[in-house]
Amino acid sequence: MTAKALVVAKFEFLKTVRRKGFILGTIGLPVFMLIIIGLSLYAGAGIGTAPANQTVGYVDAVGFVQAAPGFVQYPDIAAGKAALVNGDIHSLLIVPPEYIRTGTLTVYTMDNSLLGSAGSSRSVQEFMTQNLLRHENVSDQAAQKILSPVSPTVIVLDEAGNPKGDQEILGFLLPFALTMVLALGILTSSGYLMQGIGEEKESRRGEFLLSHCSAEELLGGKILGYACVGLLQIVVWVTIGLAVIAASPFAQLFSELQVTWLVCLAVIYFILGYFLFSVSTACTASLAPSVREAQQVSAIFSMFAVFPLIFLQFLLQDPNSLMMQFLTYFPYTAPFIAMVRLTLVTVPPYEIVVSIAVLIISIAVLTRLAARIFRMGMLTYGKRVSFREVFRFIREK
Amino acid sequence: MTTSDHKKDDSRNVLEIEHLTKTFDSRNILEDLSFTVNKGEVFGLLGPNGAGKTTLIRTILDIFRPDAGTISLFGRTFSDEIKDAIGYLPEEGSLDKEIPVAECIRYFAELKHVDAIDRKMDAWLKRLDLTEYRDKKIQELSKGMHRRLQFILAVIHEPDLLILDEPFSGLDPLNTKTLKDILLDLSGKGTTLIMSTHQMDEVERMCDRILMLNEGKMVLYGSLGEIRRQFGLSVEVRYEGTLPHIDHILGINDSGNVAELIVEKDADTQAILKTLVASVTIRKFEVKQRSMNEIFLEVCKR
Repeated sequence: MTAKALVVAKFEFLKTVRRKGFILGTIGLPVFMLIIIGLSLYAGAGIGTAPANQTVGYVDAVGFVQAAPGFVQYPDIAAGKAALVNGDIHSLLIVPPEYIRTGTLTVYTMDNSLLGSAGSSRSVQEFMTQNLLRHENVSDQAAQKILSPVSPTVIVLDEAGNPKGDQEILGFLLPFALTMVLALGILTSSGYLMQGIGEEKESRRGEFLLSHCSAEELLGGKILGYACVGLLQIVVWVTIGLAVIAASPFAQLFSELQVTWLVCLAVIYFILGYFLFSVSTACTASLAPSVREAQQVSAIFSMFAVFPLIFLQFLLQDPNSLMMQFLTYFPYTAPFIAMVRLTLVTVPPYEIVVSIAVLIISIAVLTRLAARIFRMGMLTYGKRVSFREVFRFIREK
Repeated sequence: MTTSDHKKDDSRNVLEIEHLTKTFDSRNILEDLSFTVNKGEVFGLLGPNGAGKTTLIRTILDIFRPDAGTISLFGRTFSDEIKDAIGYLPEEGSLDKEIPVAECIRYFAELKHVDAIDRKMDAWLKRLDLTEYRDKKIQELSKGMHRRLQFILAVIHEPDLLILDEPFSGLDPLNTKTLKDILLDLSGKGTTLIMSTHQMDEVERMCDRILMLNEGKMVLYGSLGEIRRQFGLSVEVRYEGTLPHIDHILGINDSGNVAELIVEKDADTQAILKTLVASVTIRKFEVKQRSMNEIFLEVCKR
C-alpha cells in the first residue's frame, strides 16, 4: 500500500463518515431497530393483559363464579353498566345461564381499542377457566398445572452426547448473528464505494485523479477507505448491541463469553468477503454509464449475501448437502454460506481451507484485472461498455 | 527526482516521443508520432475533434500505455516521481461538490506530496481571487471559479511540465487574461507548458512551437514562424469592381468588396498588386502571413 493510496483512503473515509446519510445509517439504524423491538415487546406485553391493573365487573347468571381479586360481582346488568359508565370498572362480563353449554360470554367495555379488549385478556381467560375447572371438580393443584404455561428445561447435547453449556450455545448464536451483521457491513460499505466511483465517473473526475495517482493506488485507496467505513459502522452497531445486552437480563450469559474460532473465522470471512465484493463493485461502477445503472448491476452481488436466507430451508435440512458445499466454495457466497453452516454443523476443515483459498485466489486475480478495467472504465463516458470492450480493457497494458 | 533537479538540467528535452502508436480496436488513434518538447517552451497541441489529442495527453500522463514507440519525460521513462513533476488541467470534469475548497486542494496537494500546503494554498487562492471561498463547498462556486480552482490543483505542486487541455474554456475575458498572465509568468520561470486548444488566436499569442494532429497523424510540427512560412502569404484586398484572373494564387475568399487571396509561397506580391490595379479600384492592399486559423482550416480540409 503506497502513501498515495493511504491519502486516497483517508480522504474517502473522512468524506463518507461526515455524510448525513452515513451518520443516519450508522446511529439511526440501530436506534430505529431498538425502537421497533421495544415497541414490539411493549405491544406483546400488552396483548391479553390489558385490564391487569383494572377492575373487571361481572354478572353471573349461572352462579358458579367465585370472587377473585380484581373482579367485582354485580347483581344485574343495569348495575354493572352503571358502574362501567361511572368508571368504577374497566369492563363488564355477562355470564349467561347457558354459559356452561355454549361457553359464550358477553363483555361490555368503554375501551374500543383492540389491545384493550377485555374479552381476550389473559386475566379474564384465566379467571373463567379457573371457575370452570372448579365447577368440574378439578382439584386446585391440577387446575394450577393446567393453567400454568409449559416451561420445559431444554438441554442441548453435543456430538459426544454431553450437555452443552449456555456459553457454547452462545458460541453458536453469536457467529450467526455476526455473519448477518458482517453481510450488512459488506453490502453497505461496498455500496458506498460503488456510489463514490459512480459519482466520480459521472462527473468525469477520473482522468484528473489518474493524473495524480495510478489506477492501482486510486482503487486500493478507495477499497481501504471504504473498508474502514464498513468497519466503523460494524463497531458502532456491535457496541450499541453489546450495550443493550449489558443492560438486559441476558448480560450474565455474555459475561464469560470467549472469542471462539468461529468468531475468528467470521472476521476472516468478513475481510475476504469485503475485498471480493469491493473489487467487483468497483469494476461494475467504473463500467456503468451512471450511478443508477451501477446500483442495478450491483444488486446481483447483494443477492449473494442473502443466499443463506433464500436457501435457509435447505441449509437447515441438510447443511452438508452437495449444493451447500458448492456454495461454500463459490467465492461470492462462501463468506455467508460457510459461516451459517459452521453455526449449524461440523464442517470438514478441508472445506473451509478450500473455501478460503478460493476466495484469496479470486481476490488476487480479480484485483489484477480490476485495476485495468477500472482505469479504462473510468475514462469511458456516457455509454454502456460491451463485454468485448471489457476484454479489451483487460488486455490493455 | 525533485523539481529542482529538473531545473538544473537545462539541456534536456522535457518530453521526447519516438514513433508512438496507440491502437484501440485495431484502429490507430495515434500513428507513429515523433516529436520533442523543449524545456521552458509553450507548446501548442492542435487538431480537430477526434484527432487524438486527448489520447496523446493520456498517454503522456501514463494513463494509457503505448502500443509501440517510447515516451521519455525529463530524460527518463515514466515513474511516480515523474508523475509528481507534471501538472494537468483537463478540459472537462467537475470536482466533488460536497467538500470545501480547502479540503479539495489539500487532498490533491497531498497526492502530489506538497509541503507547506496551507501557505501555498492561500497564495494561489489569493492570486486567483478565491480566498473568500476557501472554506465554502465547491457547489457554491460559479463555473469560472470552478475552473480557477481546477487550475490551482494543477499547479499547487509547482510542476515542471504543465499540460493544459482547453485552459480558457468557461472563463470570461477578465479571468482569461488573469490565467494567461499566470501561464506566461510560469513559463518565464522555466515551467514547460503543453497547451491543447482550439483558440488559434491564443496559440498565435502564446505558443513557441506547435504540433497539429489529424486522424492520429502528425500533420504540422515546428515553430509558428516556420509553419507560417510553409503556408505562404495572404493578401487582404478591399476593392471596387470585378476581380480579374491573378496568377500564383492558391485560393480566394471573396466577400464582394473584401477578398482574401491565398498566394503561393515565394509569389511576387508586387506583381499581384499591379494586376489588380489594372482591373479594379484598390482601397486597401495588405500583405500578411497566414493566420493559424486559416492554416488550421486548410490542414483539416486536406
